Amino acid sequence: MKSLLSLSIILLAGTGSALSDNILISPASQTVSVGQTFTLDINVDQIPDLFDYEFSLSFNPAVLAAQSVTEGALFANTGDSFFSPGSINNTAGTIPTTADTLEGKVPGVSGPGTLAMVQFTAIAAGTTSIDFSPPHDLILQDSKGNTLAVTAHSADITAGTSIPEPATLSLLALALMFGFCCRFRSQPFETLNRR
Amino acid sequence: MTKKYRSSGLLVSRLTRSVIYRPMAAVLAVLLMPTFSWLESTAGVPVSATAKSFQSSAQTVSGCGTPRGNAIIQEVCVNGVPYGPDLDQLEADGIKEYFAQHDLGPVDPLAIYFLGRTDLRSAIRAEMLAILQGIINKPANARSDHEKRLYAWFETLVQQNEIAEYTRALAEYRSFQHDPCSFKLDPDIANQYGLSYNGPALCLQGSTIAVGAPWVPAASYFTAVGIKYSYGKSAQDHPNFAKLVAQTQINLGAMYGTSFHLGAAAATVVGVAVVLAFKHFFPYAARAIAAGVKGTISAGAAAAGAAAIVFVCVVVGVIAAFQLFNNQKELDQINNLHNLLSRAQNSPPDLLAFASDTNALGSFKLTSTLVSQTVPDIPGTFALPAHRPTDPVFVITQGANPTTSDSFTYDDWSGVAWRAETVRGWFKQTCLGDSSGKNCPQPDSFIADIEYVDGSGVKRTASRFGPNFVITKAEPAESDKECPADEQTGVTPPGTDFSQCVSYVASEFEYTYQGNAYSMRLSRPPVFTSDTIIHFTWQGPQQHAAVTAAGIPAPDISLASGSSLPAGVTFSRGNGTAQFNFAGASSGTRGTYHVTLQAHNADGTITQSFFIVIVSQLAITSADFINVDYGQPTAFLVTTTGELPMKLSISPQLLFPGLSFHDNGNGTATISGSTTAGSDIISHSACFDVNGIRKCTGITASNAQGSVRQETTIFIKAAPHPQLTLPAATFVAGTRNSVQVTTTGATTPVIFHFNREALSWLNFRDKGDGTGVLSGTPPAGTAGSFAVYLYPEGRGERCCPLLNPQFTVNVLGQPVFLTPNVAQFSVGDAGSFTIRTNQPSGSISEIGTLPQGLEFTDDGNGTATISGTPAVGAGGSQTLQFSVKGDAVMGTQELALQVNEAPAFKTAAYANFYAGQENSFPVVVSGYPALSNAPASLSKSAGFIEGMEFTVSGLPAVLTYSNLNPEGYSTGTLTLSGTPSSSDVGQHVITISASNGVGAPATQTFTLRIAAVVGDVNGDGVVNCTDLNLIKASLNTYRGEVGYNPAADINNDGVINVEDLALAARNVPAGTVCQ
Repeated sequence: MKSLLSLSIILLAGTGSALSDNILISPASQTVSVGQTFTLDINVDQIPDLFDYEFSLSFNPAVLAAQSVTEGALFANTGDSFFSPGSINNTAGTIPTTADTLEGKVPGVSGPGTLAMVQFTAIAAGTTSIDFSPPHDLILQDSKGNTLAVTAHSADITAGTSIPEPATLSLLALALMFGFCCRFRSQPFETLNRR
Repeated sequence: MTKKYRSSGLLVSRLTRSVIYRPMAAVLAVLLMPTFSWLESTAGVPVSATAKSFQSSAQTVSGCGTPRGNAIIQEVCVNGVPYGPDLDQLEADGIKEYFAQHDLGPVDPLAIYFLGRTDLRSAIRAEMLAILQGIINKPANARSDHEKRLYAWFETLVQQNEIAEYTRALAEYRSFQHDPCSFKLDPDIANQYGLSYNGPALCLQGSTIAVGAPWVPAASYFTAVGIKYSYGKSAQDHPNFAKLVAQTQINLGAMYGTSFHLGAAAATVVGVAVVLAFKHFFPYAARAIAAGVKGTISAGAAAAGAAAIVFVCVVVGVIAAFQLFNNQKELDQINNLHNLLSRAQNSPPDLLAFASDTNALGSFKLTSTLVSQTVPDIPGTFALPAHRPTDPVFVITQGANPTTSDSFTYDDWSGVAWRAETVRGWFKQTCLGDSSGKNCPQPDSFIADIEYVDGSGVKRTASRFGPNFVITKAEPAESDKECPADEQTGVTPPGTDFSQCVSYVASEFEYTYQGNAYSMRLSRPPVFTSDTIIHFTWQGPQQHAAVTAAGIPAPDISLASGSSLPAGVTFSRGNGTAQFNFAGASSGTRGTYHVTLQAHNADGTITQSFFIVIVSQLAITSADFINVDYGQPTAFLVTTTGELPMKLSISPQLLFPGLSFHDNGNGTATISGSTTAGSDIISHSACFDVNGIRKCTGITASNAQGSVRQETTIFIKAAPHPQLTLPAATFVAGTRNSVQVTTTGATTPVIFHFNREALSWLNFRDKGDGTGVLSGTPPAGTAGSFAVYLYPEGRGERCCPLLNPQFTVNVLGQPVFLTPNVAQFSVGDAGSFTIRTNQPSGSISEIGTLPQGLEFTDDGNGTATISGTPAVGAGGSQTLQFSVKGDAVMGTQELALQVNEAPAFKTAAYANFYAGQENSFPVVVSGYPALSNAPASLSKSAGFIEGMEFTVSGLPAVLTYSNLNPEGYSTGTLTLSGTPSSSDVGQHVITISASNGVGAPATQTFTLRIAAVVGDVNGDGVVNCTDLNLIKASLNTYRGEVGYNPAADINNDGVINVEDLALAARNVPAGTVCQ
């Protein structure tokens, strides 16, 4: 079952504008075979002046097992970042507190780009969503320490016992595309004020 | 005529004379002044001495024929009629006018009676004679009663002399007619006129003329004999009578000069008669004196007296000649003596004709008549006072070298030398005699006139007046004129031909001594004589203050060089007198100003400091009424304006007991105290009648400016009427009610008047302290409003209770909650609150959520209970609503339920602060009450909730703490804040205590870590990978969790996340690669 999580973080006063960008897991939907290892990218789109971020992920540990979390190119390419991959808990199905920050009194980076890459292995057939959870762990700040408002998008993973035929895959892809289009919408979730 | 010579002394009215001198004479008649205290006074004579009448000085005795001591007028009776008081007054006036004419001021008559020698007494005789002549000159209907009596006295005396003259003349003639052969001429007259008559040679045997017509003496001879034995009668007994007559006339002449210069006002007394008499008689009298009358009289022979008066008659031309006639016409003239005698006997003499007689005979008769009443003359015998250093001195000039001396010597008209000294305004003179040292008319003299001979040999009299002399020619020529003084200079203008002046005024005169000519003037260096403090009233009218300086000549008073005047003040320079002028109005500024004046005359210059004091006008500025509340303390401040020191007083008194008046000594006074004066007194007016005597209470302020008085009314206001705090009370039927009755506005004890009317269940108890208790249990079923009589009266209201005062008791019959609408519990303490109603069987329901630990129980009997033990965290306040149902309606009550809870700290006992930047950390505490309902400055007062209070110790001095919002209210949260410096870096242990009056205060030991740089977790002073890794190690940990590193909670939010990491990373140098 696919799930879609929308998260709005309201930009605090002082930012000068009320931007609302997306943080999303790519691909947003994927079917994998049991035993298959695959990688999901944690991307942001048009976000400006991003200085640091933090997120936690949750997944169904009965379907997937996280393997690693690595820093994405958006920060890694700057050469001046401090990355904390977080600690994978495949028992609980969580990857809490992946954090990354630029160093020094430098301006932030602008999206789109990849914040991090998470590698999973499908360990059993089934479906699972990968969510930014808990929501309060999703933090993005600009170079002045202001919180940036983003909308979080989850991803759905289906693990099967075999790899489907290409025709079947095409039909399945069409079906998935149809469903994605119908269900892909944002909903206000909660307003957080960490300050 | 110049005002300069007008003396107030001469202008003394007859009223003054009669009112002042006569009573003084009566009172002091028995007094004798044995000393000359008047000589010691500064301004002539002290008032006390001035008050002594001439009578006391003269030791007069009233009564006909009784010697009158040393008074000048010795005989006061005529024909047995006493004229004592009027003659005393005449003598006093004469003395006074002499003083005035010589600018002697109000000196004492002692000078006349104890020091005055014959010459001075003759000067007074002249004054009296002038006064009499002035009266004679007046129309009869213009004379005062006193003047009428004097006129009658003088008229009677003259008439007696006229009768005596013609009676004696006729007797002489009859003697001749009876026996012309043996008739002998009066030897005095024959001697003086060089007459001879040898009757026997003309006669045959017996008494028959031998040949021709009878030789008959001229009528003037017989008249001369008559005069000798009438007007000259006194000379028979008093050898110096002729001298006194002559001197009186001479002084009359001198007085003419001074009178002329004294002005018309003085002439009203001295009169034209003086002028007439002077012009016609004075030259002869002076000639007689000069010719030796004085010497003749001084010989003292008895015969000389009679001879002398004849001599006077001769020199004045009384007797034209003596001839023997054989002309029947002459006989007829002699026979006319009968007619003259008859007229003298039957008609009063025409005194005005005597006074204006151009041949001087009339003036002689008047003079000798007056002088006859003054013999024997009793001159003063006391030793004369000596010149004193403070007296003027003489500046004597011979040639071009003036010398100064306290005496000068001159020759008088008779060539007799005198040495004169100044004693104040007088000249003390000692006779030195003629060239042989003899022939002094009197040993010494004390007078203000000098009879001298000028450098041209002209006889003159110099009468001193102030620094100047009125100089009168003794024998004026017909062509001589008056030479009046200039009004500005006070002296006759220079350039005047003084040789042709009857009189003139000069500051100096020429005299001779031993054939040498000298000039003399008076001199005295200047000295300021006025007060050196000048007072002006600020914002008053235009004001002037005179400054005087004495000196001879009068010194020029001017502003000293370099001295300046205060604003609004000008100075008018002058001789002897100058003047400060103050513009008044809004000019100038109050204060004391120093000014230096200079006085300069020919003999010196002095300077004197003066102080000009400009002060507000003396006035009482406070209200002229005082309101005093009955029985209440009052303090009314009397305020004034004006110069200090000032004395304040009240008179006659403050009638109301309990009030007092106190002079504060600083220009204010206080009326204070309290009074419970009788209730019938409404006010104390400024003026009132006490036992028929009208009194006015007034406050008087006195200072150097004078005094002012303000009549003051004191109002005693009735004690204010107390007002019931509430005009009604609400009772609930079926239950006991009690309400306290209080009042407001009373200032005196309150008593209550109560009448329950028909409410038997209602009671009132006056507690005697201004409050009372109204209580009662309305029977169940009672409802409605009931009026009762409840009236508070304050003591001293002075009015009766109002009619039918109403107090309303409202009785509630519907369901009513009887218990208060506030209940309190405390966390952890078991408690119970009973809700009661007036419905014994009512069921009570509750709406609202009770705090955890409390529960509500309806007892079913009109009561309910809230009970239990509030749980921790239940502290707070909330409103509950209760309902009870009556027979028909529902009763409700809202209850404010408060649960108090002791304070407890809710925030971490740890915070990170960073040097060099503003930090703030809130210390959150739970508990109730936490908020105050008034600013902290007021919440300590009763009735306010103070809320949560904190104490903090150990906080670095650079940091502060507060639990108040901008309005000063307690917020319940303590905020630590401030900007520490690098010297504060480190960990500080702080003790924070919180209390809210509930339970024990909560205490927290708080660690405040001050780091040098944001992100310096390990405290090494820099931020680097180590710090980032320390934060990384604690990521996703919360306060209280394992792994939570408070030093890594950079922003103190209780969780370590990327926000802390980023805060630290910002202080890591760019390009740092951390593993």
